[in-house]
Amino acid sequence: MVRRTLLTSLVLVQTLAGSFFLAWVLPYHGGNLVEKGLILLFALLFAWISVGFWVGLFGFVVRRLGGDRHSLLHRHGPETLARQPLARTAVVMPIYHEPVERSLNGLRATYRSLQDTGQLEHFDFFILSDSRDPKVWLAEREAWYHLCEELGASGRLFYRRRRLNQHYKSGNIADFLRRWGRDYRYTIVLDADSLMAGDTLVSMVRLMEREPRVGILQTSPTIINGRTLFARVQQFASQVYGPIFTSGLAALQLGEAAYWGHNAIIRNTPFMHHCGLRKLSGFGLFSGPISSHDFVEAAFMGRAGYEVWLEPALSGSHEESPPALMEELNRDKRWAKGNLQHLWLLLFTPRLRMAHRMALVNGVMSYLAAPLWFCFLALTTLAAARLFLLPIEYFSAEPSLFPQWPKWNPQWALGLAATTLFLLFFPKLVAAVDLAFSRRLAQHGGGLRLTASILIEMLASALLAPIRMLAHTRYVLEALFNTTLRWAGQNRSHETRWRDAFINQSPGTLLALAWAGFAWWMDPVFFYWTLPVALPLILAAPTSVLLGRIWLGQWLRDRGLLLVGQELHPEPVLRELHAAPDFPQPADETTAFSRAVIDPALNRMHCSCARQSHRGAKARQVQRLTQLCLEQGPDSFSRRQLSLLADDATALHRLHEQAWCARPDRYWGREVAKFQGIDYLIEPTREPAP
Amino acid sequence: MIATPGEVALTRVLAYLRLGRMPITREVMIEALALVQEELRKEERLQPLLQGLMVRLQAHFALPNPALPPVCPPLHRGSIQYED
Repeated sequence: MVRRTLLTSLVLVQTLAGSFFLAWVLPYHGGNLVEKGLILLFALLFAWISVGFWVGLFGFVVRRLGGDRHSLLHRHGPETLARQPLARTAVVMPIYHEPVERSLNGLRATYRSLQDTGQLEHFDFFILSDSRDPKVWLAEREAWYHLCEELGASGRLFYRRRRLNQHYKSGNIADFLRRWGRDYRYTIVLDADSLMAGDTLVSMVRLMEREPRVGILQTSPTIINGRTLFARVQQFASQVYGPIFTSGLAALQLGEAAYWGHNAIIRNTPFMHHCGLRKLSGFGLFSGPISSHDFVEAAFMGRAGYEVWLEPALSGSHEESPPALMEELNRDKRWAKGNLQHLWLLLFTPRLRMAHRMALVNGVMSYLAAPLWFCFLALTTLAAARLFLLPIEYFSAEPSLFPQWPKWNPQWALGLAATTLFLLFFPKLVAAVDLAFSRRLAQHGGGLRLTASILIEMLASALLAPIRMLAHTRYVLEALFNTTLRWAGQNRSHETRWRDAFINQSPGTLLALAWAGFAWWMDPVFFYWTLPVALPLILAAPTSVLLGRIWLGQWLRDRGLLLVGQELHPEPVLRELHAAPDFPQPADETTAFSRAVIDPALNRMHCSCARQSHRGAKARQVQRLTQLCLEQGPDSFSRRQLSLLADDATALHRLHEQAWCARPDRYWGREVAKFQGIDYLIEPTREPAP
Repeated sequence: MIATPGEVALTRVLAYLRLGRMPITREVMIEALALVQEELRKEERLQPLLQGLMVRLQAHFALPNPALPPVCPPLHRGSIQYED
């Protein structure tokens, strides 16, 4: 309570001081509607960044004092934990159209790492697929089968695919809990790109066993495997600045922390009793299933009297960053909608704890801050235009004997801008100091390279902030009006293509050019003020492309820049990940469907997983499709038609038998030939063409 | 390559066995040849030849039949509860 009161007081005092300062900077000192709006928006945004500033400083102090004495790991020493027996735990990885190899490589490394602890017997693993495309889910099931064979994990590693994927990821987890939740005391939830060390999984279960009031224990995953410049910047920020921010957050939230949806352990019984998510009953955005479930589940767990802890000292928890800006923004689009939905819960859900309400506000503000900043810039432009283009208002709306002289104090404005920059960037310097105190400078290439890396990261942040602001503004508007404003090309390649970047970023670039041009025409001094925001927007396309380049990330890495400790001295689970063999390589140009039909072992496996047979009209449809597939192949089939075949054991079996009897000049004959690695023609004198 | 029905049939049989995880030993090759020989005596046209072979193939060779991993554990249903 003392910590949170202190934080609130500091943020309030700082915000009030900043807002008064802004009032003095403005020409009419908040004397008209535009300036009042400016001050209000400034106060909200300044409070928002002040929270981040103080959380970072709190974290620094906590770390320098040797960690938080209230944290779970401080309460239970290593010896106590080592003596604690384990309980049955499920490790689940929900996936939805993810790159199969990447996800299952992480799961394999996690499994092996757990095996190395000697505690594997207490854990079962589940791949929970929501994939709809049969080419994807057949490939997932195939990879699962190979993984079971490779790891000897039969009966310990399972694959479940929902045929009806309602309520997104939370629905997938709920489906698992309904089916098997009672078999396990805990569930560790992974993301498709998660990687966790076996020791960490074991420690999480032991901590939960020691602390029966804890409903959810969240680790603080660090970003790994960054290859593009964008991912490497995120990775560097996560590993250099992350520790002080998460330590600060954990110290302030204590047992009322948030749940981030993955790399966390949940206690099944209370989760199943208290964390069911109803559909929202409002209108538009506020109707239907909740798409961002994690914060809400933490709030419900708290409401039921259980604690939710963030434990940053639990190392060995990792995730990956999106490889490029466009991928990140695509993800943010979903998250923006999900977080804005929480407004409804904030208003209409009773008995939530204040800390969890604040966590929901925090989530909302993560995206609402963008349109607020946009409005602030718009009002600033309006205020400047009024000053330069309209006659001066000597008398305000309120009765006054004396005229009001507008007085513009640009040097004070500079001071205010400098203060804002200080709040944004000072915690990063503090994080570097923390590294020095922790003797971890060498992990980042030494003091000089670390300084250069921080400057690169700051430059990237400064370039990205206005682009993110504009994109988030659009997402918030789309979410609030329940519509989609389409202007983006979709990047499907691993690296961002120039064409996609230009199509994506052109509206922002044009807007920034118009804004900066207007500012120049109005007053060159104001033009210079627009540059920190306008310039990154004008350069958005090249920024997006260059940040998405692997060679640039590699080039900096070769020079010891943006280095992280995991790259120089990878922990065992990362070494396991990098040393893992590839999954069995399928024959060239074969699809998962072809393999399911042709490969005898895979066909047998898929048949055993599929429905044994359909009935009635559907059975007749399957028969018709099977015949068509035998004659022409599946290329013209819709996703639904292919799913019907791939999910019917009788159809799969028949296709298998007939495919191997097909002539080499027919579709299935050619497919079989791909597996044989032979491309042959039939001797023309013996066989008439079909 | 231009292939005779016999060549297509033999490569198809061997490919099936290999994909079926059967080690292709000398004995297996001899048996496969014998099988193709027998079927060729009955039928020279490719399509019926392949059909006849595939029917006999599975009965003739004992393909490895390892136990499949269970895709899911037995169900043990519970329920998710909703407050409010």
